[in-house]
Amino acid sequence: MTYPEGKPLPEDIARLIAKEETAAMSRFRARDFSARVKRAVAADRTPAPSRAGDRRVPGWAWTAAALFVAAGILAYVAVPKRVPIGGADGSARAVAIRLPGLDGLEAWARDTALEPAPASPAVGGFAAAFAGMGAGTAAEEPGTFAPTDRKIPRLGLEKLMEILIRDRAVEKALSLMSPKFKEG
Amino acid sequence: MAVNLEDLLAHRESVFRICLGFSRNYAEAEDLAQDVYLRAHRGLSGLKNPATARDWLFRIARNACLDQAKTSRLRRAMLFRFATAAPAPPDYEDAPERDPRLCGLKAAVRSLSPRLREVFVLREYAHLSYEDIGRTLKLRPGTVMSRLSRARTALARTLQESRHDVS
Repeated sequence: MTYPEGKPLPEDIARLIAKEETAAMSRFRARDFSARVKRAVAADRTPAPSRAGDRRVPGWAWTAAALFVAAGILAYVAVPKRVPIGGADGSARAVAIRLPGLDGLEAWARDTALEPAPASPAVGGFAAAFAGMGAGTAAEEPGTFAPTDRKIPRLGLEKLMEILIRDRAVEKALSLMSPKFKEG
Repeated sequence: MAVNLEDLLAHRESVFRICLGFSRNYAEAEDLAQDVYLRAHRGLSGLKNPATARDWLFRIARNACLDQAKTSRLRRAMLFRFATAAPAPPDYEDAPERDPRLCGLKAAVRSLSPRLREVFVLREYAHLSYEDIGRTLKLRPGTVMSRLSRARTALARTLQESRHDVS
């Protein structure tokens, strides 16, 4: 079977290559390349690659690992975080209640278990505003001022508590992450 | 029969020609050829069929040259300013690097895509037959010929454009 060779190499290019080759080969032949290689081989201490080293992790394993990590990140970002009932320090209260012989701690834990922690002016202002909205029923007594042109959403006590707890948890997390972040 | 280093050294001129085709100058080609033999020596135990030792050696040469081209391109990109300010000096009296037309040819060969460059170098520098090139690169002779034709056309065009730029 014959194949079309196509365009031949232009004459001037062929001449240039021949010129380079002639000069380089005459120099190469004048040198003892074999001795140079043997010296290099003798000096080469690199061990031959082992069969175990040749084994590579197959592509599907890399893909599976990447998908697994991506799913983990997605789950971490997408799934909402659950704050323990009683706020971020709820576990501390639970521990304090169970500790025998520490009356002061136990009393503190029982006293503070149901009431929300005082909100800081910086972060807690948001929560305070919501708390005010929730207490709006008291402000509707005759003789007191209540804006009638704005519709304030009514939030249940449970929702308000949830917002307060989240507020407190965020505040706690920020203070833990940055020592510069102080209340107030 | 096992292949040893001496057997491989019988092909040293062809290996050097391949390295010369891929490299920028004589010194680089000689270093590359030595690197090829080091690689071959390390991999000799893995050579399954001694009958294919020659093709295997040329394949190592091709891979070493392409690796080196990649590395030197990266190095030049990192040291772009210095590389352009100081081209590689000719390393002996009648060095072809002194010929600007030859410098242009080397640059044009380096500008070819690796697929075209390897076929071009194996044919025009190492003078391998189409069948040998096919065995070395694991290509059909028809593919070798079509790539060679494209490489020649691209090279001629590049050189013509560079001449026009100069004039």
